[in-house]
Amino acid sequence: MLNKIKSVMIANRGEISLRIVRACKELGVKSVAVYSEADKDTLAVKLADESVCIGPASAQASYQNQDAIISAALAFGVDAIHPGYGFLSEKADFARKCEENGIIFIGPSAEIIGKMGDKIEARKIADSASVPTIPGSDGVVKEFNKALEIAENVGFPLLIKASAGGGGRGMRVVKSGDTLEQDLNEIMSEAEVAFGDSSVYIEKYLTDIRHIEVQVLADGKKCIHLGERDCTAQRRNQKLVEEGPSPALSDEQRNELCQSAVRLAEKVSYKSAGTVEYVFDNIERKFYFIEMNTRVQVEHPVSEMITGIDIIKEQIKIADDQSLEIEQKDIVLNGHAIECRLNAEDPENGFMPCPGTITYYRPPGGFGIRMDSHLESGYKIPPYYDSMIGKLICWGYDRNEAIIRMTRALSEMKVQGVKTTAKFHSKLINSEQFKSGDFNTVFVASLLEKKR
Amino acid sequence: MNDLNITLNDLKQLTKWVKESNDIRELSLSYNGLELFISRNENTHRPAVSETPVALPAAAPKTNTSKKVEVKEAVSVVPTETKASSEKDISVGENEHLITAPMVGTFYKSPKPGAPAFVEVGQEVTSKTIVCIIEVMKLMNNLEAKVNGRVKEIYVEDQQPVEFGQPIMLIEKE
Repeated sequence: MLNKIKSVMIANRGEISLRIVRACKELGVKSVAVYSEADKDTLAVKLADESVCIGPASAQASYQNQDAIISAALAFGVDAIHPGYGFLSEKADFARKCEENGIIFIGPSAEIIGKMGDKIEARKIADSASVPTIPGSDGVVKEFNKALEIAENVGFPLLIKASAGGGGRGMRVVKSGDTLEQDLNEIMSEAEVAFGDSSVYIEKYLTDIRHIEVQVLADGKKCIHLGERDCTAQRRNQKLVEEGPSPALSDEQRNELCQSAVRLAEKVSYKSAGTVEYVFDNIERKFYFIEMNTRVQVEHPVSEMITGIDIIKEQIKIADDQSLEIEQKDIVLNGHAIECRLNAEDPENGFMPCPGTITYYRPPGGFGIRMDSHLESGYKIPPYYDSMIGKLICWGYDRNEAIIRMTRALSEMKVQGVKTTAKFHSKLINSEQFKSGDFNTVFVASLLEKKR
Repeated sequence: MNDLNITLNDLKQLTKWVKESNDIRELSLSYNGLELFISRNENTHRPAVSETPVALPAAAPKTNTSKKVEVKEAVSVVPTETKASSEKDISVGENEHLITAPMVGTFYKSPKPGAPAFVEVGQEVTSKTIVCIIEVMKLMNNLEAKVNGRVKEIYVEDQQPVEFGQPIMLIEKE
């Protein structure tokens, strides 16, 4: 099924490593899972055709250790590396090292990663592709006077964002002109320390928003979209629940949104799977581009469930230099899917992470249930990495059924030995606001407030 | 195999079975003075038996009581992937030092291709003796013995890829 790629090294861990191993098996290609000493007994390592220990527990010494991973790929002779998400997946220099060493990086080129990773550059590309962007500075701001001028045009409240930040880091809201100068100076010096880059840009601060993203697949020539995902249910800028299609969009808006994502990807001749992220202003009912993630995302199963397309397999085929066989007209959004990110955290205790041993695990099952998880009875959750233990995805004929199914699945699932967010998720999706489909990014925080 | 007699034919059958079986890596059998050990592992640690083919007793004692076949260490089923001996397979004595790979890469036994190996089994080393090279992306890293002693065992072959933590050699401390 693949021409050039005979073996894939999976440079990641946990549930995504398992996901990629599964895709490799279906494609008939050898899977080689890397692991740190702390992950020796995980499911992906057990199921992969081969596995290679690349370092001690610390992520920096193992999963983020570019030299160790490239060295392993060269020494053990693999054709390609799949970086998963997080870790090295959006490190342009890692993609470059792969290219230089004759290893196929399963993702876009180092050049594209660099371009789209630079928020200011990405914004320029969006503008040139007629993709709406949030009113604000068109480039970096380094001086107070320039910022003041821009702010007067944009209006208050406005948001100062560090150009090199991301994932919720390096941002501050300025409510009025009184504190602008002080805020600007502070954020710029924090950015210098944290990212080595003090440049910022300024944009209008939107208060009543949703977070909607579009999944794209491109082979360097042609790009298609797999519909959108709505990730508005967040806590501290971390996604908790994702769903597709978005309950907030009309068919016309959906089409407009998804077409804009395709235009953006085609502008850079994108090659691989990617996600274009937008904010949707609930008040003005308008969407604006914020960034593009040049990797496969945690919540990719939502799109897989409503379209039937295996995104990881398509990604590997594209990296194998195969042309995308799927046409846009073949993509039909069928039914509704919801994903809950399950974490080993205690919601009663400020969501404190709870690593430990799973004494008993009973996965949920039945029609429309998909559990993407590396959990097993006896599995010891290591304390060195994030607390996500799995993703529960439910598909339903419509949104209502998906919610009912998710509720049923969450209740029959058993994870004993550690605390999880399962019950919290159940409350979340059964809240009035979530069920109505009409909510914004502040919704989860206000739900948690009410419970106090 | 009947209760009392083990014939050469029985042994042949047993060997054939182990050979054809996909999931037997090692078989250790002890019966009535006979000890049989069959293994697929290149770097195996044999239980203390003679390395020459087992000689059958000329005549097995005939008694009326049935003897139970005692199989020491029942057939172990291990995954078929060839994995180098992991650290826990090797028992490191009080007076021994196990050198493991400090990074994932390629093991070289000599400073240059064609040159004599840094060390051989039985060779004396000091703590500063370079015992091998681990290559990481064209960067050659010399590994030192770290203890004074004698090379007891080498677990890897020249140009073999090695994982982080993989056993490389065992040094008997002086």
